[in-house]
Amino acid sequence: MTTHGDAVGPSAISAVDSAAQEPEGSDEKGLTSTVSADAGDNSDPTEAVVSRQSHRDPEDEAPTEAAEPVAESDPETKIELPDDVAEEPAASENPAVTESSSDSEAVPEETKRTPEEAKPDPEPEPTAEIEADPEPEAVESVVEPEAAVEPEAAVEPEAAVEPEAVAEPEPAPAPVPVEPPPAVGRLATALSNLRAAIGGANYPLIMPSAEEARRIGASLVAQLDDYLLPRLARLDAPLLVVVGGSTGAGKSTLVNSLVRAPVSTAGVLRPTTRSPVLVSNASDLQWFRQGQLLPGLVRTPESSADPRTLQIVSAPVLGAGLAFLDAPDIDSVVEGNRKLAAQLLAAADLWLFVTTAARYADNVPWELLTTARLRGTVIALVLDRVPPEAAAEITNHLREMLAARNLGAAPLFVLPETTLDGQGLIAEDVIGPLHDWFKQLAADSSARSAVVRQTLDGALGALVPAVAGLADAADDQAVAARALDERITIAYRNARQTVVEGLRDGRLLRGEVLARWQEFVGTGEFMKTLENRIGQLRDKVISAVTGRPLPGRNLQTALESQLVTLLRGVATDAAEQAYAAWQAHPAGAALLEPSLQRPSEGLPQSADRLVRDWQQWVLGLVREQSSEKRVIARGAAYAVNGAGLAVMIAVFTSTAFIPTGLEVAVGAGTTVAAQKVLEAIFGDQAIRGLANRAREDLLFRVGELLDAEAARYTERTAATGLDTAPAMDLRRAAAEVEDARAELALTGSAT
Amino acid sequence: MSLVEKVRGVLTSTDGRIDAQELVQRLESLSKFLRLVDPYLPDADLVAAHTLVERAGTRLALSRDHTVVALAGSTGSGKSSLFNALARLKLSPVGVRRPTTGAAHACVWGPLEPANQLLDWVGVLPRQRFIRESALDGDDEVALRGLVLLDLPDFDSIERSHRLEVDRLLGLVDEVIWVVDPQKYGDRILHQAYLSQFSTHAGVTIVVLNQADRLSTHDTEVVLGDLRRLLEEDGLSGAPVLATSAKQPGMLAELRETLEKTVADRQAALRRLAGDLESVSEPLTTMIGPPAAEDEVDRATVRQLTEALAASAGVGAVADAAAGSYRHRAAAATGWPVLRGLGRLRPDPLRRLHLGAKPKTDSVSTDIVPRTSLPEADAAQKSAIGLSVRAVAGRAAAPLPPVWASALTNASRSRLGDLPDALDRAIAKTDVGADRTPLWWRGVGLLQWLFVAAAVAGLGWLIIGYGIRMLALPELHYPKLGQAPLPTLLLLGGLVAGVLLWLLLKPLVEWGARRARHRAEQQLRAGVTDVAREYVVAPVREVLNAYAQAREALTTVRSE
Repeated sequence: MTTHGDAVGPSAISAVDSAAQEPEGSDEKGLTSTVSADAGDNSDPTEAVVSRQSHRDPEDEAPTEAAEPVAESDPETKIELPDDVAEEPAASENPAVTESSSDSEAVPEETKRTPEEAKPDPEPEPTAEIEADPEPEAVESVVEPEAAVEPEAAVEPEAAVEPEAVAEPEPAPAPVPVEPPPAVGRLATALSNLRAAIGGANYPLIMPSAEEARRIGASLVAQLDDYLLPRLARLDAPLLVVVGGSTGAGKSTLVNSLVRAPVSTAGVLRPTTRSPVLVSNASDLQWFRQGQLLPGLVRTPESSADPRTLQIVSAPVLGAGLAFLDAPDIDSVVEGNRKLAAQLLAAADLWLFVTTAARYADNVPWELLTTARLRGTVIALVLDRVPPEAAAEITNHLREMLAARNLGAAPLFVLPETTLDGQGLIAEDVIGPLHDWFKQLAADSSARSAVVRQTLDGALGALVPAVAGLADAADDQAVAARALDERITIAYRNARQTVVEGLRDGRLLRGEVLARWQEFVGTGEFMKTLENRIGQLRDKVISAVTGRPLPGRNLQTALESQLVTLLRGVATDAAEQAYAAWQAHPAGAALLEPSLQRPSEGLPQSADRLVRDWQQWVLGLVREQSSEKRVIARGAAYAVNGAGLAVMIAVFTSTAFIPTGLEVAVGAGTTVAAQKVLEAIFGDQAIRGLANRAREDLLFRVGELLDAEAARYTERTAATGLDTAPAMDLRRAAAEVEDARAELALTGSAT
Repeated sequence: MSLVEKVRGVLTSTDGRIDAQELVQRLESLSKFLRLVDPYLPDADLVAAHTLVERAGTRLALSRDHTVVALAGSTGSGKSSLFNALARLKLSPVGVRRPTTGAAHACVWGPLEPANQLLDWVGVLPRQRFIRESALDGDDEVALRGLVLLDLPDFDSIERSHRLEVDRLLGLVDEVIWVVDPQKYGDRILHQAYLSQFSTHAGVTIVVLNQADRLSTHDTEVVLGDLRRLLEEDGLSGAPVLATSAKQPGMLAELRETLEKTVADRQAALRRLAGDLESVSEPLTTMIGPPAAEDEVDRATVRQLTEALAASAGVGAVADAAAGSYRHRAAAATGWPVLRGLGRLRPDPLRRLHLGAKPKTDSVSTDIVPRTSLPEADAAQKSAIGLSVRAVAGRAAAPLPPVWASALTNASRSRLGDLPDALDRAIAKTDVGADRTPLWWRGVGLLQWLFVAAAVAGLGWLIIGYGIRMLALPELHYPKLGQAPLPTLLLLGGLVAGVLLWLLLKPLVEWGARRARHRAEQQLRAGVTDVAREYVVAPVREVLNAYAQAREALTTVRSE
C-alpha cells in the first residue's frame, strides 16, 4: 500500500515554534507545515503546500527542509512533524511568539529533543513509544525553560503547573493543584456571570432573530459548561482531540487505528457511531471521569447506545496528555447526532476533521468548519478514503478550497482508500504520519499548551460577537414587545375615542330614545311625576292596565341597551383591529389565538354591569344634589328616579344642543322642555356640572372596561417578562469577559 | 426479450395504470378549484397547485411517448458514471473533483426531434444533449427507445447553484433514480430534503445503491436492508431498491430492465403527475371541510341583521310617522268639519320626513328617489350593524375551515359603505300608505258635511223663523217631529251627530292608524330585508357558493 504523506499546513498549533522558521508560511500564526509526499505523486504536492517543515524524523535528527522528504520519495516517509514549540528559533512576525520563543530557543531546543531521540524508530511499537513519551523528566525539562522565560507574569504560574499535571501519569492529580492566577479567577468569574446573563435572557417572542438567539444561547451555555469553565479551571488538563466529520468518513476506524485498538465500533451502516467514545491514556482517565468536562454526558465504562453517555476507554498506546473523542456524525438522518457532534466540537481543544474523497465538497461540514474557524478552534484535517490515483488532484482541490476559506493554515493529512487489517485498523504505515504528528503533540507539552490556549482564547474571543448577537436579539425582543403593546394601545384608544364621540354629539339620544323622551315629556307625565305621587300612581295603574311599562323605565332600558351595544361594538372593532395588527407582526401572530379575534366572552355582561353601575352612581349624585336643591325644587314631590334619568339624558344633550333640522321637528321642543324643567329644579350651572361629572364618570368606567379588554393582549407580551435588562446584562458580561481575556493574554498577545 | 419484457410490463401493470383522460379531468378540476378559491384564500397556500396545473398542462402537451428519467444524488455517489454506463458511452464527464457535474446532461434513446421540445422545456442546454441511436447498436438499445435520461448535478455540495438546478429539474422530470452510495446513503439532506418529499411518488422512484462493488456481498445486503428501513421512514416503502455498480456491467442489468419496463409502459409521466396531484391536493383538503349549504346564513341571523338595519334606518320612526299621518289625514277627512281646519296647521308627520309625497314621475327622471330627512344612524346603531354583520359572517364561517373566515368577513363587509344610502333608498321607495284614502273616510266625510248641512239648514230655518217673528209676520209653523220642532232638531242633531260621529270614529281611526303603522312597518322591513340580503347576505352566499363548488371540484381531484 502506498501512503500519502500528509501535508501539514502551517498549523495554528505550531504557531509558537514554526513561525520563526517559516517566513513564507502564509499563516499569521507562523506555523510550520510539513509535507510528506507519497512516492508516487510526490512531484506536485509541494507546490500546493507551502510547506516547509521541520522534519523531525528520528532517523535523521536534524530538522530538514520540507523539500527533502519529497525529493527522497521514500515510500516510508511520511511524516512530518510539526513542531516543537520551544525549539524553533525564529524571527517570527508574531510579536507574541517572539517574546516567548526568542529567549528560550537555545535551551529548549536541546532539551526538547530528548524525548524524540528516545524514540526507537519511525514505526515504534506502541508500547515502546509510550514508555518513551511520558518520561516526566523529559517533559519537565521541556517545560521548565519555557516557564522561566515566559514574560507574562499572569501566565507564569500556570506554566509552572503544567508539568505536574501532564507529566505525572500515575496518581490522579487533584483537580486544582495550584492556585490559579488572579486573572484566571477573574475570567472565570466573568464567564460565570456571562453564563448567568445568557441563561437569564430568553427570547419568548417568535422573531427571525429569536430562534437563532435561542440556539446560539443554548450552545454558548453548553460550551461554557462543557468546555470553557472546566478548561479554564484546569489549563493543564489533557488535550482533547475531537474526531468529527461526516457519516461514513471513517472516524471510528481512524480513532481505532490511532490508538491501535478497536475501541469504537466501525461499520457499514450509517450512521455507525451514536454515542461518543473517549480514548485516553490511563493516567488521564481520572480527569475525564470526573466529569467537569462535558458534564451533561454520563460516563460509562463500556459501549452504550444511549447518545447521552460518554464511553471512556483507556489505550496504552496513547501518550499522556492527549485524548481522542470519537464523535457522532454531523450530517446523517439521525438528528440527535448532529446536535451532539456540535456540542462535542465546541468542547474540543483540537478538532480533527475527517472527510473523504467523496465528501470533501459537501456543504454541511464546510459550514461547521467555518464556524470552527470563526471560533478560533485549532483544526486539523484528514482526507480519508482517497483513491490512490486521484490523490493529487483531490488534495490540491481541497487545499484550494481550504485556502479560499481562510483555512489554509490547518494541517492536512491524506489517507488512501485501503483495506483494513484483521482488527479493522488502518495499516500502521498508512496512518503513520498522522500518528507521529499526534505523538509529537503528546510529547510536547508546550505545543499542547499552545493548542489549548489558542483554542481557548479563540473560543473566548468568539464569545463577544456571539453575545453581542444575543444582546441584539434581546433588544429586538424588547422593541417588538413595545411595538406590539403600542398596536394594542392604538386599537383601544380608537375604541375609546369612538365612545367619546358617540357621547359628545348626543346622537345616542336620537331615534328610539328620543321618541320615548318625547312621549315622556310630551304626555305631561313627567310634569306629573314631578308634581305628585299621584301621577306616579296613575302611571302605575295605566301601565298595569295597558301592560305597557312605565315611560321612565322604558327610557332607561333603551339608554342602557344603546350604551351596551355601543360598548360591545367598539370593543369588537378594537379586538379585530388589535388582532389584525398583531397578525401582521411575526411575533404577534405567534401570540395570537382564535379567541382574541373577538372581545372577551363576558363583555356583554360586563358592559351591562358598567352601565348599571354608572346609573347607580348618577342616581346617587342626583340624590345628593337634590337634597341641596330642595329649596329650588320647592317641595315638589320629586322623583329622584325621573331626575336621574333626566340628568343622564342631559349628559348627551347638554354638550351638543344645537337644534337642527329634524331635531327641531321631532325633539327640540321636548329637549328644551327637559332642559328647562331640570334647570328650574337645579339651576343651569348645576345641570351642566352634573352632566359633565356623569359623563366623565361614564368615560372613566368605559376606559376601565377597555383596559381590561386590552389586557388580554398586553398580558401576553407582559408574560414574556421582557425588559431591557437582559441585553444590558449580556453586553456588560461580555465586556467583562473581554477585559479579563485581554488581561490574561492566553496566547501571549495582549490583543 | 425486450418484447417479452414489454408485454409483461403492460400486463403486470394494468391494475396500476393511470388513465390519461381521467388524469386530465382531475387536473382540470384542480384548475377549476383554483379559479374558484383564488379570490378568497391566501395565495401562498395555492402556489404549489398553480405550479402543478401549469406544469402538467405543458408536460401533457409535449411528447407522451418519451419518459424523462433523472439520475439524482449526492456529490460523489456516481451519477455520471451510472449515466455513462447506462448509455454505454462516455457522455458526462466523470471525475474525482467534487462537485463534478455542474449542469444537467441528457441522453435520448431514439430520434432527437420530438424529445427536443421536451428538453427545451426541461431546460437542458442543447450542447449537453446526446442521442443514443446508432446503426452500430443494432437492436440492443431498442428497448430503451423513448427514454430521456438526465444526469443531474449534486444537491449537497458547497455549490449552491447546483442545488437550485436540481430542485428545478426534479420538479419537471417524470421519474427519478436516486443514486446513493455506501458512504452517503444515510445523509440527512438526502432523506429530509429530498426522499421524504417524494413520498407520494413511490411509483416513479427508484433508489439504487451505487458503488456496491465496494462492499462485500454480505455487507451489501446489510446496507440495502438499512436503506430500505430509512426509505420506509421516508414513506417510500414501495420504491424499488437496487444495488448497482458502474464498474461491473452485470450489476446494471436489473436497473436496465426496470428502465425498459418503465419506458415501455409510457406511464411514468402520468404517474409522476398523479403523484404530484396527490401531494399538492393533500394540503388543499385542509381548506375544505364539511359541506356548507348555501342557505347556511340562517333566518335568525338575517332577522337580527334586519333588526339592526331597521333600527339604524329609522323604520320605527317612519312607521310611527305613518300612523301619525294616518291620524292626521283621517282627521282631515273625517273630522268635524268645523274644527277640521285646525289640524291643517300641523304638518303631516310623513312629509316632515320627506316621505309620502310621491313626486310626479316624469319620463326623464323616473329612477330618482329623493333622500329622506331621516336622521343618520348614531354610534350605537352603527355598532349594532357592525355586530350583526359580523354575526352573519361568523355564522356562515362556523362550519367551514378557519382559512375561509376572513374571506367571509370581507365579503360580508364588501358593501357596507353602500348600506346607508341603500337603506334610505329602500325607505323612500316603500309605500307607507301616505296616499291611501279609505272609502269610509269619504262616506264619513260626506256624512259630516251632511250633518253640518243639516245643522246649517236647521240654523238657517230657525233664523228665518226668528226673522219672520221679529218682523211680526205670520209665524212659521215648524214641522214637528214628536214634540221637537224640526229646525231645532236639525241644528242640534247635526251638531251633536257630527261631534258624536267624530268621537265614535276615534277608536276606529286609532285602529286604522295602528294598522297603517303595522302595514308600513311590514313594508319597510321587507324593503330593509331586501337590502340586507342584497348587500350583506348575497356576497357571503357568493363565497359559500364558491366553497361548495370548490369542494365538489376537489372531490373530483382527489378521486382515484
